[in-house]
Amino acid sequence: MGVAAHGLGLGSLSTPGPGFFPFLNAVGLGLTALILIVQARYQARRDGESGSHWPMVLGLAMGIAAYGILVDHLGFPLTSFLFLLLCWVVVAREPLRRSVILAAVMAAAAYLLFDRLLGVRLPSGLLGL
Amino acid sequence: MTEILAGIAYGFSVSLSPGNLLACFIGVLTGTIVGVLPGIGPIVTMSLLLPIVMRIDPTTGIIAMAGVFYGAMYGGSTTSILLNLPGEAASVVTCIDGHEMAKRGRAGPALAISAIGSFVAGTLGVVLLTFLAPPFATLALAVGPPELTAILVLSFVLVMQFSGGSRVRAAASAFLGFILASVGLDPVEASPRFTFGTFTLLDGIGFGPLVIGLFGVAEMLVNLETRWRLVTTLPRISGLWPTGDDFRVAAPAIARGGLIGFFLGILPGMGASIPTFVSYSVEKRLSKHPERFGHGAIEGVAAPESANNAATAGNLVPLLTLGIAPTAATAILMAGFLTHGVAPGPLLIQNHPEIFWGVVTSMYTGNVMLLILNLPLVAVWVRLLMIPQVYLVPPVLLVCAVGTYSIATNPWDVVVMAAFGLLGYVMRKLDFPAVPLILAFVLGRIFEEALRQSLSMSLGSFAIFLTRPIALAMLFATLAVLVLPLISTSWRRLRL
Repeated sequence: MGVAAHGLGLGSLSTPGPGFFPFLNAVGLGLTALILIVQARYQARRDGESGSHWPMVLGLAMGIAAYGILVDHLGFPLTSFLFLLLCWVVVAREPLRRSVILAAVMAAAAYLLFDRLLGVRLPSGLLGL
Repeated sequence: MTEILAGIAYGFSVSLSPGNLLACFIGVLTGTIVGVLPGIGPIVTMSLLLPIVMRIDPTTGIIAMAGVFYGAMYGGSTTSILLNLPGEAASVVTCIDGHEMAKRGRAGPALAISAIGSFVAGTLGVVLLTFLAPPFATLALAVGPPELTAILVLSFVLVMQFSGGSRVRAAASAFLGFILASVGLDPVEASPRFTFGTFTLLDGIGFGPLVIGLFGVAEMLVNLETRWRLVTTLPRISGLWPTGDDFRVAAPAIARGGLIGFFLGILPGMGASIPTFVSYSVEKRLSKHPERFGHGAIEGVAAPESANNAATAGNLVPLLTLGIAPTAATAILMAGFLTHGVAPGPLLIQNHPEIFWGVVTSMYTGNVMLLILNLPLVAVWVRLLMIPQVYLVPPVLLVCAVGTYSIATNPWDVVVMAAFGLLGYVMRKLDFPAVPLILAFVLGRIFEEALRQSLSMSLGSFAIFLTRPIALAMLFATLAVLVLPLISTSWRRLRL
């Protein structure tokens, strides 16, 4: 069982004012981390951890973050299209042609929904829309 | 009493305006759809509404968000009954007898009773809310910092207790939430904390990116493991209307479920799901034929469905009168209030009667709309379920990203959202409940302020919590909640 031992133990700002609350909580967090570690030692290893695809998950999370960073540069429609394409082709292993069509349609629909209907400010970037 | 009636009249004048009616309709419609679709729930949807709510009139925004909240309780039962797949946590119990009924070709009556029960109990809940909240708010005015601190301590202990699974993990989750809430300006002295010298963090971690990431993105990341493929085959639905016998049996279940749901829903940490378990067990115990449960007993569907709808009304009591959000979903409602600088709490009725009464009365109309949406239109929602998840998840992820971006037109918010999505995934895998984190994050500032004010009132002494009667009572209750489970487990071990 994964031991979540992130007892921070940092209670910065020794001034009793601002530092008080975080300090209390850091102590609390540290204590619970200790308890969890102790508990984990006494428990048998959980059998058959379902194959976790965590590299893929990490990749997707980074992909989402990349979306945020790229959207200002590449513009909303293009970045959205690329993102959807990534999800369908790489993650879900959907056939390429179908994914391209779907991604294009969805990106267009999203643009219409957010830009026209809801009036959200979207970056225009490369495609100048 | 006359004040309450006047309030109701005023409220309807606000909520029946075309704009607010439309907002209510959109809210409950979205809630139903979201409740029907597995994998996306009311919490994510409500947080995606935050950027929109920020820009429009607060009453309208909150009416819409609330609509999503109780609307999802109606939709969730559809998948439970038809597919044995709960739409969200509050519909898990409905699977038991609901799906059995579907297997016996009685899906129609199950769906119908579920909608009717939800309507009756939901309305009952709103009635109770209407009449109990204002006096409660007056009582709440007597609450000062020490009482508030004690109530919050009790709330968090209750949430810890009822989070399901390890209480230690729930506590760790809450502590993490408090620490995250500390980022930014300190509530009492306004000195920067944990900002690492950046401007962006002066405002603290955004609520939107955190919630959308932790609940929405995380959920979809977890589902990644099945490559987002869920095969769905639907049972036949014929003969929608329940028989007279069905009604006779279900009616008391609806009434009891509604009352249990409402009163339990007031307590923090209960949400809408625990009341469903409780009302199911109560029905089973009170029944003259308990062996029918688990084999398609219609009371087994009526009771939990009524409970979860009444509970949504109950959840609103502490939010609207004390300013405490008892569940993650209400926490998002609270965020909606806060973006307009409106503090929910005892003074809400006095300072913003249009919001209080407008929202409460909108729930009556909302329930009526939901009854219409869910009875005849059930077949439409069923069609929705036939869309494979694969085609839904990436667009939803996109919507999450865009929604988060639009809160402050800040690309870094999306990165934060992704980071919290990852955190949520890790927490899910390690069995850490996410709800305590959210609640701690939202209530952190208030808690800290109350705690520090109490201590400055007492000049540093903790005794202040023991000398004030309400605070003392809350602390006793806290002890009871902490100690009782330990006693009962030891008792059981001794007996064996």
